[in-house]
Amino acid sequence: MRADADTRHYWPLLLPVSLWSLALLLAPLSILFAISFFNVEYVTLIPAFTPDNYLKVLTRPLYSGLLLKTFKIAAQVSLCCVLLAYPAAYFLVHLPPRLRQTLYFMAIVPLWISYLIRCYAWKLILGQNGVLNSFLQWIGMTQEPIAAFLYSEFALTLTLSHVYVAFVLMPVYSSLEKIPRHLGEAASDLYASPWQRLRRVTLPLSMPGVVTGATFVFSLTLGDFVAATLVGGPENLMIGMVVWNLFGTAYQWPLGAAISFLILMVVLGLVSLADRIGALRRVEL
Amino acid sequence: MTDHAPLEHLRLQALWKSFGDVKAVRGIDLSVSRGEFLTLLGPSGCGKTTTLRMVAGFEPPTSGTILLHGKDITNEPPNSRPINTVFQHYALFPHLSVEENIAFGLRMRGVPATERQRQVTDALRAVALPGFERRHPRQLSGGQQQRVALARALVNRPEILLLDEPLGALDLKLRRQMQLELRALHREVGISFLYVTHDQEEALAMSDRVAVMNAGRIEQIGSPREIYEQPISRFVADFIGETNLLEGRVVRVDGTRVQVKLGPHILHALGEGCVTGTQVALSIRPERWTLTEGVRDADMNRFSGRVRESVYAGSVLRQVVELEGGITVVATRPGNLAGEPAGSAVTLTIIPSDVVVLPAGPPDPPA
Amino acid sequence: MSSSGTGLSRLLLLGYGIAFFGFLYLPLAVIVLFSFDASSVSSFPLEGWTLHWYRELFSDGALLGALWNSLRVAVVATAGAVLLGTSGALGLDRCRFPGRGLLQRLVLMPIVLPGILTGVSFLTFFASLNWPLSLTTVTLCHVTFCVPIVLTQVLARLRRFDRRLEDAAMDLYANRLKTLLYVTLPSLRTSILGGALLAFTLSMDEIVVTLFVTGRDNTLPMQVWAMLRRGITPEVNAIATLVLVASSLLVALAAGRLRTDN
Repeated sequence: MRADADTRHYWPLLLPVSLWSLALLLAPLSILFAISFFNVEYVTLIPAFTPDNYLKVLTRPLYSGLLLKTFKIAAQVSLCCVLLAYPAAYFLVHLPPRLRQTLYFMAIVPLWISYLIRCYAWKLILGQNGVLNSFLQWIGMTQEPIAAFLYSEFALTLTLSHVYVAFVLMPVYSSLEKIPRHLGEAASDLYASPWQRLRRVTLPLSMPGVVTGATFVFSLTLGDFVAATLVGGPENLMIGMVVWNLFGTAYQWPLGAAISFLILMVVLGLVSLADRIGALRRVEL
Repeated sequence: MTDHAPLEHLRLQALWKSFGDVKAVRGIDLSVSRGEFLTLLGPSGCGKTTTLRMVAGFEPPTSGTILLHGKDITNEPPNSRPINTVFQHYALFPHLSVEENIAFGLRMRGVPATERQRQVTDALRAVALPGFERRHPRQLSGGQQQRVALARALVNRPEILLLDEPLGALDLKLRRQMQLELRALHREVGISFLYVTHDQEEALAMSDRVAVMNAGRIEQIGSPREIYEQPISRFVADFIGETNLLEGRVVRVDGTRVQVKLGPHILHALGEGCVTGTQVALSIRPERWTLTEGVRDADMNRFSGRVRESVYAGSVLRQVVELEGGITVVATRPGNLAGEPAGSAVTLTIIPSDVVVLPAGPPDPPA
Repeated sequence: MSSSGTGLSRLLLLGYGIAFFGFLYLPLAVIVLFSFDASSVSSFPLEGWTLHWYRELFSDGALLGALWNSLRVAVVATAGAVLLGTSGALGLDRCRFPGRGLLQRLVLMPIVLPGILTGVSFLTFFASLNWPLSLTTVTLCHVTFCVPIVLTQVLARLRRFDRRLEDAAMDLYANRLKTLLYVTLPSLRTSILGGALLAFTLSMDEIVVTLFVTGRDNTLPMQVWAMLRRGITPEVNAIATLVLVASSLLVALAAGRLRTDN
């Protein structure tokens, strides 16, 4: 068997990356997990094995409420990204090949451009004396600055959707691109109107891309605190900001670790669920 | 007799299609009679699939009209044409079960569920796949997918069924079997079939009529026997089956009897409209040669030559024979007969009616 | 494009496409616009063009220092990611053993892991080892999340690689090492380079993980973050514009590489 021979010859190449991942990924996560069961007195960590931190997160309304609110925002952002990205991907796929490649590239470039700067852009635009308000006043549409733009759940959802939309665009685009042209033609041939064709053939066949993208966005939003700090404001705390504080000024590492671990569990659970859904719905084209 | 007008079903008039600078279809006129099995046959790139796609409504023609029962459907979208297609690679919906695939067209037209169910069951029985309702396309073999694709199209009782190389993906044995089944199915349902293939054997075996296409045009249209026995151009003679194409000059015309000078030989042939002194091409099928003395007849063409090579190919024995004057021809005979060894002297004979006279022309590119 | 809908729905789709790109790029354009605005407050109406804010940048020692730190981190992290990612991709592509899927999932995990989780786990890790935070710890973290970037690019290329080329090389007396060096790696060159450019861009721009594991020395995004927390100054627009341009160029370069691959 070729595979056996290959394994015999190539296994040493796996060593560096395996050791690195064990030492600098699995080990840190394990230590985080261990610390989530520790106690803290003043500024010292006391090794222990107590579920207190987890209980605290789940029972104190401050933390559980924030977790729920963060889930809600993450769900909102995922939905927005899907609604924004799906028609855009559909638009791109139906362009002539050369234009399609260029525009697709342009659509995903922002993903690689500094996340911090993209969040900052919205702070600049939505601020009390920001670009949007001053523009509206300048052209005479409003007299007073509208305070509601920045530091709102809307601002946070908008910013995060802008930041993460390409994560949905990519998988949806590639799943749309993989649908053979003949399937659409077959649907039309069998009396489907353009709308029915979209609903009965294109949409179901691109669902795996939607699921993958939405999962990505949900996971990444769960851990966000930069956008929340810049545009969410004090009224729209996200759980990530709490973690940031617990590991920073508050020095409550065990509690922070417990929260982090809960987020990690949700993320991994979602990813494997999405994998499974994807595998079920992924049809060989 | 030649007037098909009352039976005429589909009519293509002066159909052209260009993709940019490329003219894929260059003026197709064609009519399909009710219940006919008509095949568009040609090498890849000859425009046969494009023609089919225009009939289905996937490609708008650059010019020309498509009439169904005399009604212009040129600008109808595919979903409002009473025409269905069996696609080259079946194009079964991978996310739907066999049942849902077959019911798709009925559902789109709003046929009630119970009625749908009944028709799907009938359709599956018709293609000999009862009990496959719940399977998904990926769980089916190529032949089974082929049948589902057929059922999915036929269940809609289209006016015309379009088939785009439907057997192309199957292996030879299965293809032969499906050819017979398709023919039987065609007789049973009485729907006109417009069939596209590049496989001449398949076209001859299945069709009522064959339209041989080349470079965007129809070169010849007729029954399988006509296009095999009476090709009207070098292209058709060469593309359909195997043939010996020889160049010669007409030296004598006497009614339909023609004498053609071929190197040192004079060949007797039957042909119409030949003019003395013109260059012509002659097509002689390899299996029509006789390697015996045959009947002594003044008209019989008789050549002596030498066997260059003798190839046993199972069902036939193929012999390459060099005639006097350096002309090389291929002759075949049933494989069960013994062949002369290479180098032996032989006599080849052929009757004049087996020599087809064609207009000379630049040699066609091999198909 | 046959029958892909009526004229009206095509028009709607086109309109949406334009609006979508507006949504993507207008906020970025706003930054660029105001980086040239003479006013010290970023608001309409514009008060005239200036390069003043760019001149400010080049006299800002802390910012230049942060840029230098970022470059050092990114270069080392990219090199590490290329070594680990390429060898890992080859290993994952060729080896079959129980747990292979698990290993692949572990290596690729940083892609789906929210940055904050990577950040806090590294923070606790370094603390438990009494390892002082510095640019070294930052670099180690950057390697960890850059590895999957290079690895996925190379792995994708390997999946399309024709193994018969290797057979041919070995048939022509190349041993395994020479086959790897002269046949396999050259075919991976463009995807390695593309992956490296992406990893470099990511490392230059990373903020969330870095916030947790940085010592006294700031990276460029950290410095920008600090400036932002002090309040918006047009100087931020200028540095943001430069980062936008540099990142876009790097990514365009990477995409160019990766495309020639196909």
